[in-house]
Amino acid sequence: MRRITQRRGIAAVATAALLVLVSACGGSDSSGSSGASENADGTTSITIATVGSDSGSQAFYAKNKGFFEKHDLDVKVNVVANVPELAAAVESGDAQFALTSPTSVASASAAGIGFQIVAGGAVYTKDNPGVWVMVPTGSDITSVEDLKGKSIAVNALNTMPHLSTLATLDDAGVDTGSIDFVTLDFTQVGQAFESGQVDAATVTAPFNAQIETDGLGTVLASPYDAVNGTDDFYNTIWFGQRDLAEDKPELVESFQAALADANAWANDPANEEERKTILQEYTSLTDATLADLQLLQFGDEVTDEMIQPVIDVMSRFKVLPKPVKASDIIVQVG
Amino acid sequence: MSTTTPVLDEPVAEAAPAPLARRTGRRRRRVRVNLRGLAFAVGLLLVIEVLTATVITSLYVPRPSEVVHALWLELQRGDILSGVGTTMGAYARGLGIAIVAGVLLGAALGASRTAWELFRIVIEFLRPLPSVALIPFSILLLGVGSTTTVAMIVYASLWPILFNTYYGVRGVNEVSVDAARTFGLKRWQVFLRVQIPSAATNIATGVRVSSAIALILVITVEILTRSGGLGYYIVRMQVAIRTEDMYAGIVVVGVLGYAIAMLMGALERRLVFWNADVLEDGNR
Amino acid sequence: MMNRYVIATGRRLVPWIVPVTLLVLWEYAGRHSESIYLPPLSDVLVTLRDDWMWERTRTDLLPSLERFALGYLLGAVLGIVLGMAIGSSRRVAEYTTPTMEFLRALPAVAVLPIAVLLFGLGDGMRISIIAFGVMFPVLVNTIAGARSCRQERIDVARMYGLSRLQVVRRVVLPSAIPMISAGLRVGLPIALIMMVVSELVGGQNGIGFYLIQAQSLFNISGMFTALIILGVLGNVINNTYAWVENRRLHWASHL
Repeated sequence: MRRITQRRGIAAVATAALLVLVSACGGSDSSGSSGASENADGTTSITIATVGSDSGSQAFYAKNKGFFEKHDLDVKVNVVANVPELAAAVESGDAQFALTSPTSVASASAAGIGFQIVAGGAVYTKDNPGVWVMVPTGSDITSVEDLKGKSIAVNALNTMPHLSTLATLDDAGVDTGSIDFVTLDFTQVGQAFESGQVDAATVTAPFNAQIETDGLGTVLASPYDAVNGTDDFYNTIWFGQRDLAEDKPELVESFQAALADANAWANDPANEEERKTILQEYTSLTDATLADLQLLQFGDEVTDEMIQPVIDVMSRFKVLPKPVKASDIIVQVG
Repeated sequence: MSTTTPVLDEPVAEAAPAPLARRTGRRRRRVRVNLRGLAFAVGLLLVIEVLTATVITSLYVPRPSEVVHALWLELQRGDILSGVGTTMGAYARGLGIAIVAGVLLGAALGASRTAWELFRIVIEFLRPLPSVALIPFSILLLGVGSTTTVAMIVYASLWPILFNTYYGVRGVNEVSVDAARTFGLKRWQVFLRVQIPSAATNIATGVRVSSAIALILVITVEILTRSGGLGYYIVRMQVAIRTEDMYAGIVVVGVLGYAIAMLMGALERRLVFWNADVLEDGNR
Repeated sequence: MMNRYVIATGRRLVPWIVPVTLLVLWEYAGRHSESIYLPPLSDVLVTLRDDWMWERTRTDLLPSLERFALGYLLGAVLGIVLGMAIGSSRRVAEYTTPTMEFLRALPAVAVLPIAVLLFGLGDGMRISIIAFGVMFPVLVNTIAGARSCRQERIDVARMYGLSRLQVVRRVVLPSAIPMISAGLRVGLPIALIMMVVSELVGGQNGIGFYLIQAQSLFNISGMFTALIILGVLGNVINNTYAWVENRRLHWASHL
């Protein structure tokens, strides 16, 4: 008899301990499916996630210049590391909208995840590509053809910097199989150039400017030129869950409107100084780095023509397990 | 030999840092700063200073003096300190939960063979899973932010506490248990009054080991997910190409680690004083 | 007789109740859940077969294991050598302890830029990161082990005319072996963690690399297979070590 009560006591202890664990882990899990909450004053509270760089800076301007408020949005802006975290933030309902590359939304779509592009982000243009293939100073590589059999650093495989570099090489007739791609954070490219560890690297701003200023490397090519025949396309976009867009089209519209205001403000060269000041607040970039930075331009409307080329590049290098159509992953509202 | 090994080796193993901490922290000595240690550290810094000024002239390796200067400026600006607050908040919550859960689970598993047998395989499978490999899952389930950070800290720092408690409770001298029983103590009283106090040394060891693990985890998760705090400060500085400031952040992490190690050593001596002489003996 | 046999078998089955229940629950939940993030166990097993039998094992698992082994050995040797040096001399310990404590607290991710600088982007950098993580627990335990050697024994050995180095090798080291061994065991899971961390950044192959690849392509089943492999790997490594340690200690106890 006594044995039984003992056991029971122990079982109770074990259960209690498990409960502690479970409650500890499940703390903020039950935030509801959409996460957007309407407030008494008619505003809607949402959380959005973006990256702490120029390409993700629309949200900072919209927040700082009051464009969100103007459209009755009470927005909390979270800065997140990179693509998988952004997708997870949206999937888990932690954030309603997040910034990412169209490739990520296409991958998610091919994997059966219902993400939709809700608004435009940074746009590639011929004279402001935002991404460059660089080679170390003193390198004997002078053309894309010279890259045959070399090692090239990219930030991650199967992302736009990688795929566009592949496309550039392929277009130039270089056997892409001969290239040794090394994944390396943009921040470490300068160091890798300095110590001669890679033959080339695909980098984004502001790292290109930093590397040039430090005299460590020079630009060889602009790989995004190979994506859409030098026509514009979206480098980054905003996305959300399909369900949310269907349930609350008016929320998506307000968000689009607020971002459109932010874009108009940010694209105006007159605001460059102020834009850099706001950017500095969120990214801690130094004055010197900012001075060299060529600011990106943002787009409002998301069309199939500006998304499909990206998906086509993915298909070209067999990243997508099944075909994806741009029109299926772009939200239709209004 | 063979019967005592599994019971003894783990806690002894992880009890190892104690002598280090104890030496410098002994009562009378505590006031005295370890001048030799300081001298060595300063000397090492000077060597690095000379090396970075002459041999290793990389733009990405700042000289120690530059880092100290950056640290000084950042401290005045307060940016770095606000990061420390966030980080230590997550740290304290994570470690706190891990202590409570680890002690409860470890005690339960140690007291009941059946419980141990039931959960053994699951625990053996989960325990060696690297916590960093769980970060992607945690992000999917809990989102990015302090919840994920705390959950990862709990996961990583749970095991040393759990196993030390388990071995502690299991390893209690049979004679003391029997003696307590003959004095008429009930089973749970024996558990509370005899087994838990005897296991306290082990528990304290587990907590000390975990206190170091938890710090590494909180910084790693913050760096990998950029979820605020000192880790995010470090990575933000890295991305902003402010290398000196990045290393200033790393220095702060090291200082925090050192402070925590000292604090835990001191707390351990205070709280589990009844076993102190045993330890001292073991340490000659 | 029969009854006892049944009970004995039953006892042996007890540890499997919870794991099997959990696996069944996983399969069930996966089949009935809408969430793409919880694929049923059977899907994960299919991915496991497709990916890891045996192509990925060759291109990712083996390189990971190789780095693991080299990094672990390097860290262990460094830890033991430095530990003996520090542990045999109170003075050396006093000089180095604060610096060691400081270095110990640095997360591998933070040390990575330095490792890249010193060892480049290849396996050298990854191995050094693993060694860095393994070194400290081994070091700390070796120091404690060296200290645990009784002064009388050292004095006696000195009286017999053994040199300082001989004393360390013949007297201090043997008495420190149980502690060193324990430190080596603590280092194992750390080496595993470091292996993954070092592959998350700047990786070209490896289990950690596979994991982030799967994550960025939303290949959730793939992520689970990486976890399963890491869990199994952790257990195999742990048990192998326990086996070796038992035999070695057995031998040592007869010394």
